[in-house]
Amino acid sequence: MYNLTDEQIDFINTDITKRGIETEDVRDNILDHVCCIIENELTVDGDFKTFYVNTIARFYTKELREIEEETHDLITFKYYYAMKRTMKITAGLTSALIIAGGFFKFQHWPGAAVLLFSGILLFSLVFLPLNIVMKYRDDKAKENRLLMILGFILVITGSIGVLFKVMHFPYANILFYGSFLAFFIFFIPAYFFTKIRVPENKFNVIIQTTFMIAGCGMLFTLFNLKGSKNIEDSVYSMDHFQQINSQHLEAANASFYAENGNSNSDKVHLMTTELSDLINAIYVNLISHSNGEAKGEITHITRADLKDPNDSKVVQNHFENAKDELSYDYLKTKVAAYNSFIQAQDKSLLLVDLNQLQMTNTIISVVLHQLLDIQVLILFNEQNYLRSKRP
Amino acid sequence: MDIHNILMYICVMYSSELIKGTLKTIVLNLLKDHGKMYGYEITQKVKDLTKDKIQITEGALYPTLHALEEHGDLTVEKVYIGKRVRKYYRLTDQGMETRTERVNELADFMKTMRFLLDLDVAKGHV
Repeated sequence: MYNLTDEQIDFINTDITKRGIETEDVRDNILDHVCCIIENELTVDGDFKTFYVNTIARFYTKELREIEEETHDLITFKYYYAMKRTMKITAGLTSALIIAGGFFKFQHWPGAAVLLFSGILLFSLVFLPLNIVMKYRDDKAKENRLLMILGFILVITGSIGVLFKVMHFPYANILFYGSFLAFFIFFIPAYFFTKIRVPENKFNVIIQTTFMIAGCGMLFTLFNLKGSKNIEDSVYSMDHFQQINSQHLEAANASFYAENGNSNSDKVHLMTTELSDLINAIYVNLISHSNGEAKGEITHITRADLKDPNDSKVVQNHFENAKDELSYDYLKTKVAAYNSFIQAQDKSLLLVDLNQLQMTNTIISVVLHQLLDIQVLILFNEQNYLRSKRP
Repeated sequence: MDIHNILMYICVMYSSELIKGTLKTIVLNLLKDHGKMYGYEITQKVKDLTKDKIQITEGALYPTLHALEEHGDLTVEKVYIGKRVRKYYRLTDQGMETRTERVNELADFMKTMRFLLDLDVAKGHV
């Protein structure tokens, strides 16, 4: 039996470290194993160096670090089967949730949002990341791994963008359009030119690339699709109609007031003007916030100037949940004061019943139209009052 | 079923692929029979038991041992021998269960293979 000296053990330890065994646990095992072999198989007068070199060569096919890499692989992917099972389950679950969510939404049944939300969340945060890990393990080529990670990340950010859009969270557009553009500009060309180089993949790559380009093209067409121009114009015409009515009423009231003004009509006129001015202020405030323009920059206030007629966020933040003098709450108190005032003046005047209008949980263009309706109603009241008091 | 029986069935092929698929089972079963063992001891034991027919390579053994340890099938006891550290592996309770599952699976697999390859009828092929 050969006796190893401390220097020889140090030598072996340094050598296997140099050969790429960096994990202490693996190194301890290999060191002890080599030492055992030498002690048991080398004769007392044998040559240590030659025997060591021959022995260590038995441990690997190309390089010693294979052992460390293999160990790392086995440990890193210890959850491989659990992941595979989770992936299968989430695949089924996301498909079911998204299909059910879509169907519920189509039927206007309750629970559609919850189904869609959880479906997309599961898809983008569990299913797709798991896919990255699994594919990463399966494909050893570096450029394929990079390509695949890029593709999956873009799909993840894209689907989170869709989720944000549905839930009206911030940055939805940046996420979605950004991912979409990056997918189109970077991923598809990179995919095509990387994969086309392998002759046996050529046909499949051409088909897959065509699918992706066609898909992106159709999606892009959908983005730019707006509602019919005719319908849009007819909707704008409602607002225009009410605006003209309110201007005419205002002008008529002014002339009635100039002719027959007295102390009582003073009060009615003041009350009406006050509420009408508040409505105008809210109107301008909502448009300026929605368009992201300063109030002073808004020269004429028509709904046609809105950049996003479907903006619901501005209603939430600057009307519904606001606490200032342009908020829904403030409008309600002012309308209540107006109602009790005109009720005291003349029982035949019409009350503004805000309960009949749904001004919250809606989009800006609806709120703007409702404001105009209220304005026309109070001007109409004023005119009725002035007419009835005409001598 | 002990290691001798298992090895009897695979005494034909010695390709590294075949051994790779059964290595975990071999290691777990050896540790069940012998309590604590270290790497070199395991390779020698297998060599002895199989009369040199199965030689476990270090390149396959250590990744497997580390993976089993990571999974919780084995515990490690470190013994310092001069400047070296010797790691003794021992089965945990979970490791015991894994061993039973693995051995049963392999036994069943071998039964199927015998049937599939017609080994009982035509032993001459072996």
